[in-house]
Amino acid sequence: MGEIRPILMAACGNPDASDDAFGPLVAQRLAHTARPELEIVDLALNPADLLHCLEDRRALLVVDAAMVPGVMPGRLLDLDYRSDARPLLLCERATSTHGLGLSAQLAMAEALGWLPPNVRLIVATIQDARMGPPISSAMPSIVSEAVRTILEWVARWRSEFDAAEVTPDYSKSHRKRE
Amino acid sequence: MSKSSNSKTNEDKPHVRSIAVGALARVEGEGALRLEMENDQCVQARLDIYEPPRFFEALLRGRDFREVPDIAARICGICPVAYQMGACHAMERALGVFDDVDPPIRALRNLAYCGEWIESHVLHMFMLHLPDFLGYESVISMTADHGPIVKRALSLKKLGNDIVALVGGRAVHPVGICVGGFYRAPVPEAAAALVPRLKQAAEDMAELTIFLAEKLTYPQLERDYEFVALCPEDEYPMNLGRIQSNKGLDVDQEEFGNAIEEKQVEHSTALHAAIKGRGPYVVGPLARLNLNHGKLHPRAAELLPGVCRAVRKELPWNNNFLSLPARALETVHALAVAHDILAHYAPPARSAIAISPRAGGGGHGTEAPRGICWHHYRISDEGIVLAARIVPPTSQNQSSIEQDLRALAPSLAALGDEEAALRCEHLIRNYDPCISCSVHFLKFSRCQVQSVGR
Repeated sequence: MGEIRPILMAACGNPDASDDAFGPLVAQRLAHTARPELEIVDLALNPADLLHCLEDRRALLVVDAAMVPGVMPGRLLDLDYRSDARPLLLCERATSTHGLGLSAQLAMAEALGWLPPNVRLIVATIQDARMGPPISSAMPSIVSEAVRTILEWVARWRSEFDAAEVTPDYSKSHRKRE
Repeated sequence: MSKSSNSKTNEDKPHVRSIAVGALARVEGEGALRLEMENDQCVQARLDIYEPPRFFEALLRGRDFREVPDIAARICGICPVAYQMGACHAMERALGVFDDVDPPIRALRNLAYCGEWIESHVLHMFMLHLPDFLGYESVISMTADHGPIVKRALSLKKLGNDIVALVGGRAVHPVGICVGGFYRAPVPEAAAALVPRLKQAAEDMAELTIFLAEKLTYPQLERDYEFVALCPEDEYPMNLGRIQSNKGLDVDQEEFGNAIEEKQVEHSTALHAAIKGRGPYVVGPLARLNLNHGKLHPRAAELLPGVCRAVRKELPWNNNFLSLPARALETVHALAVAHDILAHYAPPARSAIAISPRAGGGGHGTEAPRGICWHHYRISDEGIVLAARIVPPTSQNQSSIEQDLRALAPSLAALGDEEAALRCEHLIRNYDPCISCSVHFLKFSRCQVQSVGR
């Protein structure tokens, strides 16, 4: 079994429902980037599998579309999941009688102690998610901005993880001197 | 959400109460409930479905027969195997090759179904239904207090997903299933890796089954149901068997479509089904268990007496709240069957039979987690689909759900509106409804309560 990559990017959304395709489109663009610390999962219509992907992760990026009251469509939001200011995700409202929405997955992970210490929501605000094409004209640039944002977070976390691993244990040094 | 307080005091007029629980406006679809009662007796119970579930039947016309399993799988993200199995078997009947399918291929089909039953049943039992019984608003609040149970359930669900992925290439909308069998058979090493997990999981689920039977309080609501299920002679039903009921229905697979009638009702875009000349019926775990409990895997069968003692009811169970322990027993069964298949697995001589297109028609139903999912296809000489009919389990159960709600209504009289709505929702969850499959769902919210005298 291969080593688990410390950063997981989970994309959510319906590629056949206009701008709800945001998550899968971002996943597609990032699939070709070679980042050994990053694993990409496209949850598509089935966020119920997110819980199975969280083991041993140090950071999580959730990529999804959202209709946010009071926020114009066509924006990219970069939020701390644990912030009270985060919007209601589209997938949150897609709780099925036989499935669990993304928000429920994240909340369960938190309750189980499975959620990584670093969780960001990369959210595209959209107008609707009706079945069928096309995506709006703003979406390609939002996808590009999301890809840049995600890669910046990956680089930042990688530096933090590397710094944490090389930081000397001064308590051991003191004991040795004694 | 205030309790209705508007009532007439004229004793000559009946006290009428309407409870309307409408769905929030969602992208994927909605279902709603409306109960109307006079003097605490239900005069109307409606389960309103707003989204068309049969778009796929039209979509399949004009497609090559080989495309049908993959298209049909998109009807549902939780039970795609059920739609693929129904499509494959019905198509094989239409093509005249049904009896040519090798036993090892049939075993792999059962294995795929085991995986789907495990992940679907576990998800429903522990994430969606158990909160109702333990008095939690959702699985999230339940997780805070019952984390260990949720962790065990998630581990079982993942195992179900892994079985489907082993056989079908991936867990959601498997890509390895085809008319005639599979595109490729599992490699022995991957199959062997699941065996110890399955052995442990069967024991774990057996323990959880006893927990569910002993520790939960099951509301009493018994009715005289007609239970319908596949009834093979020598195994618990999944893919094969005549279709029978506890009230005398006994038809060949091909004839099931003629034995039932589907009708449009004004308040729902999903068809309601009934047995011709009789009326509503029930499919699903309770139907399967009542009609086939003698064919459970021994590991599940040995639990049955203890479960019956704990719920204080011998089989047959006529209380749909007992669908929960029925699902639990079926999950133990599926884990044990999957273990046996993989413990003795050797790659088959061929993963699929050879098929040439020809004109024909055929119908076949298999046991989706929620009950019989029946397909019928007519194809041309070139193997092009001319007609398709798909009867999902939840549409077959809709009438029974409404009848259950009517039976429940008198017990709601003393309750406030919110509690009454929760009781109704709990009842509906007995059926684990996949209301329109695909992306549709049911969400209750209060919109209006009125109580007027006439």
